[in-house]
Amino acid sequence: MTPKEESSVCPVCQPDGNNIWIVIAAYNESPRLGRTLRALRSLPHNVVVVDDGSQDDTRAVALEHDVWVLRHPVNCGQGAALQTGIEFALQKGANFIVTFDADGQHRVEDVERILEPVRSGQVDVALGSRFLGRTEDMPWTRWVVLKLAVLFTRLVSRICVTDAHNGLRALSRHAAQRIRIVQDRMAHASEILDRIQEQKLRFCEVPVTIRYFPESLRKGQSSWNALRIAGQLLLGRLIR
Amino acid sequence: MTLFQILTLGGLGLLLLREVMGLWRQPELGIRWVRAFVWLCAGVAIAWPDLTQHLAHAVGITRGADLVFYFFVLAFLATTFYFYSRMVRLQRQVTQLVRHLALHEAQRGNSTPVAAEQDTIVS
Repeated sequence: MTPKEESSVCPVCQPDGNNIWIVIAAYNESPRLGRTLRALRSLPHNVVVVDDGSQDDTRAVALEHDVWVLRHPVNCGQGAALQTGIEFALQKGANFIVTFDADGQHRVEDVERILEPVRSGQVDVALGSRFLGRTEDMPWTRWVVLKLAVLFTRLVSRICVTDAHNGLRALSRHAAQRIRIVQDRMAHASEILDRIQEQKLRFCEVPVTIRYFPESLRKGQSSWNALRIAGQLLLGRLIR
Repeated sequence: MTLFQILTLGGLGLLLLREVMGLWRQPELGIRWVRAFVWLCAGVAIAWPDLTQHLAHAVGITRGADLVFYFFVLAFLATTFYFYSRMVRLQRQVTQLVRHLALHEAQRGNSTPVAAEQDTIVS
């Protein structure tokens, strides 16, 4: 049995205790998700795709692959979908969890790189950083907004990172249980940093590559949404 | 008394009476006390408009109308935040419900059922 088949049949019974899950939140990603899942096949890890109320064939595309598929009947947001995937992975006994974007922005090669410091026990959370790594075809407006986001994070969350909104991150089971994402939409990325600081989790940044494709830029967040994200995060702190 | 005062005080009087009758049956209902207080304050301000002027001077504001305006701005902000908070909490409840459904209906893609495989091997 190959490591992947073994992990698929008995996710808890790993000989070295490494039950690793890759969580992918997807919304209307049917044109891109298949490519991402095919690339992830090279890794011996479990994959769970959370279809966040897509109106296209995202779920059908995911079901064509040997992955777990969960579906939100209504669109709740990327934060909500990631938390659903994380809870599912924890239920399945995950020791380590990697969050990975559905649209192919992340490279599969970076998964092992981001897992390494968490698996070795050096840190509880490893955060991907495009500014320590590389970007491909990043618009200059996005660069400005992300740098402002880093400044905002340092002031508000009091955590020193070089990339505040990177979807590629690795969590230990301990960290995943303590970081409960409540922000349903894009403010979840800042909320995760808030929780790391609040729970005094050990973290590090890992250089990763982020690729920007025209279709994902068209579909993705406008740079102006940064103001709304900041507002959601600040107001969310006042509401319990 | 002006026509405006007569009409509005009449309307406020009916609203206040409705709240008082409700409180007679259910005195523990906090929101009725709040509404009754609001109608009473509105009625007093309309019946004795000079009162707002005296109150405004007492707190260092020039005009009674400004005092009423500032009060409404604060009430508007408080109400807006209150309803925003309720909406966010409701949204979180919806998310929890959606998550429960999603976790309950998890599906495995493109996997051969284990039982069918075993049947094939045994036969």
